Formats: sequence, C-alpha cells, structure tokens
Amino acid sequence: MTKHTKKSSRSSSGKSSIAQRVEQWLRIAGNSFSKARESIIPLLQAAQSEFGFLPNEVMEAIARFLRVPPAQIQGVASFYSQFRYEAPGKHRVTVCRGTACHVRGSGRVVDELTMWLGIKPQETSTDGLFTLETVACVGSCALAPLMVVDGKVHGRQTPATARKTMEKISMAESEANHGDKEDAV
Amino acid sequence: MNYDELRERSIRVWEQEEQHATIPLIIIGTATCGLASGADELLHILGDELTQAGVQADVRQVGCIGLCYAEPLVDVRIPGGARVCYGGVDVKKLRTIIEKHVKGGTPLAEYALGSIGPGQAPGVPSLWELSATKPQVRVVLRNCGIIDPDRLEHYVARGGYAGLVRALGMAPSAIIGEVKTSGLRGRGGAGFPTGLKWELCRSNAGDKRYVICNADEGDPGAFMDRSVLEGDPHAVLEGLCIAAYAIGASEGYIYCRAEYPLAIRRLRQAIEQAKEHRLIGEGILGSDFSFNVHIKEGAGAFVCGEETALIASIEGRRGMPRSRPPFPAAHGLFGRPTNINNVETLANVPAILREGAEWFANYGTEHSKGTKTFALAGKVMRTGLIEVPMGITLREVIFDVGGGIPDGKKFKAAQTGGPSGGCIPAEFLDLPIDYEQLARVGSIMGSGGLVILDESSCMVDLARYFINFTQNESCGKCIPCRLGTRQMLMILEDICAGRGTDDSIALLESLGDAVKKGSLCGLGQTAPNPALTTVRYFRDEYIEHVRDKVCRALSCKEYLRYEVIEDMCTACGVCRRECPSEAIIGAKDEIHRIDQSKCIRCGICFESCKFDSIRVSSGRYHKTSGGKKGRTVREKRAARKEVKP
Ligand SMILES: Cc1cc2nc3c(=O)[nH]c(=O)nc-3n(C[C@H](O)[C@H](O)[C@H](O)COP(=O)(O)O)c2cc1C
Ligand code: FES
Repeated sequence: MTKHTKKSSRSSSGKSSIAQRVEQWLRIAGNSFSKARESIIPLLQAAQSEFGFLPNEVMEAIARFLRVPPAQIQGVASFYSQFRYEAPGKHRVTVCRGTACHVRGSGRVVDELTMWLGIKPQETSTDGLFTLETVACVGSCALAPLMVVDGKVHGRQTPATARKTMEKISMAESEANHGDKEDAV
Repeated sequence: MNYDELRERSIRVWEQEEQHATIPLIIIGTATCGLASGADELLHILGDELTQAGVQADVRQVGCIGLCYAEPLVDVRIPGGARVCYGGVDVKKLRTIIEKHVKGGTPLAEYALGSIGPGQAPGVPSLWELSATKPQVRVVLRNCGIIDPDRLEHYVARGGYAGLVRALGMAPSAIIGEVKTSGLRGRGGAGFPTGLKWELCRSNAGDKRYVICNADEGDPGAFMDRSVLEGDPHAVLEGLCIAAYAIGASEGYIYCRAEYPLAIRRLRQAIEQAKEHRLIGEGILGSDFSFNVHIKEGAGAFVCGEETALIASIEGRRGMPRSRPPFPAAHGLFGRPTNINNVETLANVPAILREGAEWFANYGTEHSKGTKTFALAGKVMRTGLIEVPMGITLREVIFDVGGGIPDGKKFKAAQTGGPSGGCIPAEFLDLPIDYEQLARVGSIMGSGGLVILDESSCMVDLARYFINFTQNESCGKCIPCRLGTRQMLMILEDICAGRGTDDSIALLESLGDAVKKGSLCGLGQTAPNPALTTVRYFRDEYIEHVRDKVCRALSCKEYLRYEVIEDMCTACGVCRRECPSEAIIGAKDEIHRIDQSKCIRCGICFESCKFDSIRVSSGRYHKTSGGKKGRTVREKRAARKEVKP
C-alpha cells in the first residue's frame, strides 16, 4: 500500500525535481569527496546507492562539481559494469555466472528465469517488478549455483527452486496490488 | 597504550573467553557462505531459543573456517570443555544442541564434525585430524573462523601486530632481506618474488611512494581473498603496513571489489581500530613512521585486477592497462613508485616477520615456498576454502581434502587459475602443485580458484564459457585481445551448436597462439589458455563435437535428444505440466511422448521425472532420469486385461 503511493508520487514528480534532488544530495554528500579526478568513481557509486541508478542529471552535477566536461564522467562510468542508467525493478534477481556456478548448472537457472520473467539478463520487466542480472562471482562458490534476490543469497539453486522463489514474490505482489485496489474503492 | 600493554590486555581478554569462561560460548560462522546457507536465521532466533531453554551463553560471530560444504556451522564450548563444531545446523538441530550440549553439558557426537582444542569431547575427533583438514597447514587462514574479526584484541592475543613491532625495530633493507629469504612469491597470479618487488620499488627515487593491496579478486570461482578479508582483516592491514615501512611508502590503498560489501565493512572497521591504537596513522607505535590507508571500491571490471588498470581506476580513469615498462615500481599511482601486492601475499607477511623466514621456507618446494589457499569448488564432495603446503599433489587435494567426486561420478579435470588458467586432466593427478609444475602442463597457479570437473562437464562448453567471460571483460584497447577473443568465442559457439568442422579446431589453436603473443596485458596473454589446454588434453571431445555431432557430457543442447521411455512411463503427468514449451503430449493413463519439433532441450522433464522414464542421449552416450520404480502404464493395462475376461 505504502509502496504503491510511493511509486505514483515518483511518476508525478517532474524532471526538474530529479535535478533538484541531485543538487540537494551533492551539496551534502560532496563534502566528503575531494574535488579531484580520483573522486569520479566514488561519487558515481555514492550517487547510485542513493538513487538506484545514474540519471543524466547525476553525471552533469558531478561534472560541475569536479569542473570537468560531462563527457569525461560518462566516459568513466560507461567503462564499469557496476553502473546502471535506468531505474532498476522493484526486485533485483542476480544469478551468479562464475565458474563454480556454471559447472553446477547456473546457465539453466538463467534460462529458466529468462523464460519465466520474459526478460533477458540486465533487463527490467515492463511492470517494473523484476530486474534480472548476472554477475561474475558472488564469492560463495562452495554453495553453487547461487542466486541473490533483493540482497538475500540463495544457495544450491535449480531451475525449479529459482522459479518457485519468483512465483512467491509475484504472488505476494499481486496480493498487495489487489489489496490496494480494494482500499481505493 | 603501547603495544605491550595492548598485548597483555588482549591476552587477558582472550584467555578469559577461551579458558576461564563461566558460561557456555556459542560460535556461529557468519561469513558470506554461512549467511548463504542460513546462519543469519540461526543468529536471529538464537537469543530466544536460549531464553526459552533458560540458559545463559555468550555468542561469538566468526569468519569462514573453510568447511563451506557443511555450513551453517555452529560451535559450542561449555566451561572447561572442548570447542565442538557442528555442521549443517538447522533450527531443529540448533534446539537439540542447545538442550543437550549448552544446557545439558553433553556434546552430541552424532552431529559433530570435530572438536577444536584445548581439551577433548568424548566420541568427537579433533577437527584438525579429519581427512579434510589433516593435510592442511594454516598460515594465512590461521585466524579465520577462530577469532571474531570485529575484535582487535582477538587478533592481537594470537600474535597480531607482533610482526609489525619486530619490523619497526629493523632496517627496511633487513625486512626486505627477510622476505626474500622466506621465498614468498606473489599470490595474485604471476608468482613474482615479493622481496625482490619491494626492493625494486624502494630503489626508485621519488618524493612519495605508494603501496596497494589488490583485493579485486575478479577470477570467477575464487573466494580466498574474500575469506581472509572477512575473517581476519587485520592480518592484511598488518602486512600492508610492514610493506609500506619496508618500501618507504606513506600512503596505501586497498582496492576491493564492490561485490564484497562485508569485506569492505570489516576492513573499514579494522582501519578505525588500528588507528585508535596507533598501529597505523601518524607516528606508528611511537616511531616516526606514518602510514595512512584508503579503501577504494572496484566498479565491476575484471581487467582492473591487472596492476596498471587498477592504478588507472584508482586515479578515476577508465580501467585500461598500459604497456609495461615502466613498471608500477618505477611509475605507478599518480606517477610515483608503487608496490602492488595481492591480499594473500600480504597476509603471509606478518607470519614471516613474526616466526622468521626459515620457518616459512620449511613449507613448500624448492622454488615455491609456504602454503597456498585454494577455493575448492565444482564437482567435489567437500567444497570450501583450503590452505595446503605447496608441493601437495592434486590427488591429495581432490580426494583427501576434497573427499572425491560426488554421486559416484568420475574425475575428469581440474581447472586452476580461472579464465587465465587451464584444465588439468586425470593423467596429472600426481602433479605436485607449485608455480613451475602448473605452468609445465599449460595452466597457472592463478589466484587459487580450483574448480573440479566430472564426466558431466563438457570441456568444449567450459572453453566457450571462459572465452565468453574474457571476451566480455576485454577492455578493447588492443586488437588481438578485443577481436581475437571474439573470433575464438564464435568458433567455440559454432562447435557447441553443431556448426563446427575439422578446420574450426585448427583455427582455434592458431588464433589462440596469436592472441597469446600479441596482446598487451595479462588478460589477453592468458585468455586462450582454457581453450588451448582443453584442445590439448581433450581433443577427442572436440572431434566428437565437430564430426559426430555428439556431446559425451550430455551438456551441449544442440546435440541432445530427450525421449520418454515408453515401457517405463507411469503417465503421472509431471513432465507434461512442467514442460515450459508444451512439447509433451499425453493424458491420464496414456503413455507420454515428446514432440521433438517443440522440444527446446531445457532438461526440465528429465529433472522433474521421479521415475526412470525419461532418457537424454547424444550418439551412443545417454542417461536416464529419476530412478524410482512406479506402476507403468503398460503394467496397469496388463493388469486390467487380466481382470476383464
Ligand atoms: C586480467 C588480470 C586480472 C588480474 N586480477 C587480479 C586480482 O583479481 N587479484 C590480484 O591480486 N591480482 C590480479 N592480477 C595480477 C596483478 O596484475 C598483479 O600481478 C598482482 O596483484 C601482484 O601481486 P602479487 O605480486 O602479490 O601477486 C591480475 C592480472 C591480470 C592480467
Ligand atoms: S562461481 Fe558462483 S559464487 Fe563463485
């Protein structure tokens, strides 16, 4: 319910308010960074953990802050796979594609999720509920294959267990939505 | 407080907790692997469970002891007893352990993996005497899973920072001499002698020098550095501080990959604690040596583990390697002389200074001294983190420490060194593991990823997997790597998808050679290794793929055929319901059938079938699902016929 209202407030707020939020954030956060080139990546990381992704406004604001052309910020950001340029879905599903997970069948887990969610890795579903991602190694290879859902690590996955987790989330979401609608009426 | 006072107080605290405790102590492993198997849940309910049982106990969180296959691990020590380690603990087991051991005082031998001294528990073997642990020697991992990584006193009580104290009383050249004598070589992959590296850096003039700890650990399938950082962060910090003093550096960076949030948190905390006690910072331990450490988070680029790319990344640029020389030792971070060492290399340093170079050199082979940690993963019984002396054979590691291959399958190959390494076949099982021997068979030590493959792993697919990885991670600066890995990937995809010819294999080999010779940095220079070693040792598998269109590991989808074994089908309908592409036709009491034109070979029917009714085959190789016996459709029909007349 609360989540629902949050979402609608986000969509009603215009573009200028993103720029304002970014400015506001940088005014405070900027204090802990030196105005040197060295700060580009840490600033981008801080911005991403604040906003969930890097809207254009962030790049421009950081460029102004460091007194460099925005293209330089874009250039650095685009090299690193950590950075996202679109808002991620509400639930982040990350499958490990490291070696240990690969030989224990993580490829089939990805296939199953791709099929079930209808999106490819690094995409977000049209309803904004799920983002599917793959990473190189979570670092818990002993429990391969691994899937991380909203920060919680699930070990020893199979296509079936992965799908069950998705079904559970999606069920909870549709129930919550249903509740919202009834409330509204 | 000076060091002696800190040490005295730490020992008092440690002994109080370890030997003179008046209430039971419960220890939970909460490193990433523990959390992944449910340790957080146990921790969450532990308080309530103890209250309910009406007992008081201390709770300690520790890092990874290495027995990841048995996570979550919970240890219990009652006053005066030995520390007993329980594996695979769930809520139910935890309740029993609290009731019987914590409250009742009797260890549960049937759940216990082993005990950790001092003292013994009846019926429980010593944890260090198990076949999984006996061949191991713990230098780097000596504190992991033993101490609480958030507590500086624990580290100091077990000899922490004694190496730094000794170093500060020595001339820098004497420290470098000691590290040289120890024979320590870089654990980050290439195995460059550490003492020599320090000497080269020190010999370069500059107004300022830097030391960097490489904690990027980008090799997929490796987690040694993570475990050390999470389980014993002060060891890395102490090593870095000693290196800085020996080299004459006043500033250090730890470059840690962003995927390791817990490691970063622990490092931050360790730095704060060390500063508080003047173990780093200004005027360390009352001397005139000052050293400050910063943490930099990586941003998800494998190539940033390469030293020149890493430096570019810290400087805030695109993480592209540059050609060497000049080496970082001469022209590194911000143009100053810089020394870069791997996490594990640095974690060895305090022990060398504390125990002496000779002690360290006792372990290992002629040219590879000390121990090596490995992340043992893949198709092996006891996956986890191990530390073994150099020179141990692959066989001992896989079959003694690792407990062999699960499900009665056969060992096929060991993959070392990740995307830069190679696959070592069964004929080299008795190979002693050291830098030279691994290089001789076409692989590398790498950082310590050791992934075991069994007969169900396709070697062509594995080569494709690694080339896909390096191709993705190639920074694009040099052409042999950027285009060469891409072409190699396309050839391997062809071979996996039924489009390969005899020429594909020859082309793969010559292209691999060219990429090795022509690439700018270590990424490209080693990227062909997985492909070249698999062609070298498993050529017949490649030939089967291109000539017979067969994958003996039953892994490459294009070569597979799924079928219902009509005689065995029970018409339970599970496969029909589970099939995502509606390729299975059947009804109640009707033998099911797979429509081959619709089958996408995902294998879900095979996995979901409880009976031995589904068969997957490729040429003459095949296997059957499930294994349970059920009443088949044919049996039911026969029974009905008998009744009718
Ligand atoms: C593509 C590539 C990736 C690398 N990744 C790492 C890494 O993740 N961790 C590491 O310690 N060294 C890595 N290295 C090796 C470093 O360049 C460097 O040799 C090492 O950090 C030196 O430390 P050492 O002498 O203690 O081994 C990598 C090298 C290459 C070419
Ligand atoms: S390979 Fe998946 S956690 Fe390491």
